[in-house]
Amino acid sequence: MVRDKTVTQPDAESKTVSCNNLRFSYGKELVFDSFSCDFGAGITLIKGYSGCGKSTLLKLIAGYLSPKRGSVKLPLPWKKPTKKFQREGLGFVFQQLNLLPLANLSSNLNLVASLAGMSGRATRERRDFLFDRLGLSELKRKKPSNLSGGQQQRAAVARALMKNPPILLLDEPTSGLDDTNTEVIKNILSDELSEECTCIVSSHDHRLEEIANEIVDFNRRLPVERHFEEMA
Amino acid sequence: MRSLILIAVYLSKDISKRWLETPGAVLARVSIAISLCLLFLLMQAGFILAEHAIERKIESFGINSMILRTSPPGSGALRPELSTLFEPLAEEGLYFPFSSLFSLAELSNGEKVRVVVYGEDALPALSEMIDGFDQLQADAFLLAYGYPESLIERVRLGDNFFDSVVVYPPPVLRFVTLSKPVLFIPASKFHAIGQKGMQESLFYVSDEPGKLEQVIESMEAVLEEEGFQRYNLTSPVQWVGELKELKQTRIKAQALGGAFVGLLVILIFGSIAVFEYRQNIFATALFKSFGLSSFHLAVRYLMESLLLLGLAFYCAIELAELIHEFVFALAGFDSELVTLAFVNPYLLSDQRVLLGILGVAGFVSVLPVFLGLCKPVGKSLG
Repeated sequence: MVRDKTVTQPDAESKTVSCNNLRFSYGKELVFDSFSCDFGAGITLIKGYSGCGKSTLLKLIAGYLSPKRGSVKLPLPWKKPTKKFQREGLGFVFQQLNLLPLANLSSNLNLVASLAGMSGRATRERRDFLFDRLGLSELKRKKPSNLSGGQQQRAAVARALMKNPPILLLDEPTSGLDDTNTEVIKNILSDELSEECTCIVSSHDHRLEEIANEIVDFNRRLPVERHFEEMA
Repeated sequence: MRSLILIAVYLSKDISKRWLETPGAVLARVSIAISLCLLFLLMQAGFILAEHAIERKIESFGINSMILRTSPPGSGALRPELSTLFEPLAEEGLYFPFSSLFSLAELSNGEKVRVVVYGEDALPALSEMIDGFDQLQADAFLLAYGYPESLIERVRLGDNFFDSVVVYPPPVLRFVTLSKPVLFIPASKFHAIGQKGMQESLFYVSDEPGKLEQVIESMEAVLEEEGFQRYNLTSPVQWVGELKELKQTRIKAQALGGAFVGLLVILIFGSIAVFEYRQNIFATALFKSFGLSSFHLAVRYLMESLLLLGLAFYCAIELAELIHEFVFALAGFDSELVTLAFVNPYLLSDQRVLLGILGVAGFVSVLPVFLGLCKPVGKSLG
């Protein structure tokens, strides 16, 4: 269970994602109780042991889960996580199963772009650019089942970046990836994110620490006994 | 709009892929729905044909007509003759008292025909019913279809021969002829040959529409009063009651049959929809994570169910039309009645009830999927 306030960036308040007094549980298992936290523009890396609530926090911010109590405040114009925010303002990479299995890579990206209201031309330009940057140009007509894990993960990142979202949430984006694939993802995150983008990455992967502007370590809020329990 | 098209294309692909991957699941759904629809349609058609058969009978005999047949009284028992008992009815309609002989007459071709004996009190009715009756010059007359009119046919009754003139049966006398040849002999000629064994009968057509029911009630009361033990009173008035009852039964059967069809469709389609939704839960959640509403995704399951039910409905109609004549001829319906040209109980306009049942069942069957779609994305996707 995670409590207390950790990170704030008051200088960028208008672009801040604020978690206020969040309480959330899976059944009887309490994950957050009175959890408050602000995330400013830039890349924030959340570290922590498995099950500490990193992914849950991202899902709460995205609106994929609803807190039992408290609220998530998003930068204007959304204020709170809604369907419109998910369509237009959010890029999310899940730990697994990120791509629609029956659509090829292009269609996967087109669909997200069209839901975000991007024009056909803007979609084509952005998609081709991202495919080029992520080394997927040759694979754009392929379906996810014909791609390797690394290629799928790069495609998932491309999909998340497609609409150039002001809020980008990445859940273990490099887990199980080799150094080459990890490097490609790191590069595009550090090069392509706009200054105003709030990017929160949940990961165990130390390789991502070097691109993070801020690191939030959930382990620090864990009692020592619980560390031993987790290690056991 | 573009996004909706892309989503529709993707979801259509999803449906077609599933159909190709598991054709058994599609065939099971369609074939069960066809069977249920077919049963419902045939049941409904059976009722419709039965109703038409009664309507035809009523139309053919005339709604205001009735026939009374009595059995001969026991030995020693005394009772008035029918012809005199109900004579006052002659003033209010067509009054035709007659007697049916128990023995049959034989035509020259060997065909056996029933014999009706009529007295003088029947002459006004016969004159009214048969054109040119007063000019008939013969011992008797033969009411028969398929014989040249005015032909003289020699008919044998026991050891006696009657030269009878052929008369085309007037429709009003169908109650008496039952669409078969009948020999009519005047009582004066008949008594001369000394035959015995007759059934007293009375055919009556009321002039006043709607009064027959009352007349029948009075007649029954009189018959009871006069000690008529066994008699048979037949009238389309009774068939009207039967028709009403049949229509009410049809409504009940439609409701029960419809509930049965609906319930089975809900169970089968619902189970398969839930099963497919669970297999597809990650892709569905992914769509939702893009900000797509659950409604759009639910429509995919609804459309699939309705598409399969529509297909099953169409196939069932076609199949029912194909086997209609065979099934109902086998069930003993009149051959003319069972032709679709005479009555087609499968017209789309008459199938609103079944279509409604299928629509509702299709919708209810995907309700569990709708509920499943309410599950937060974060609980489906890792």
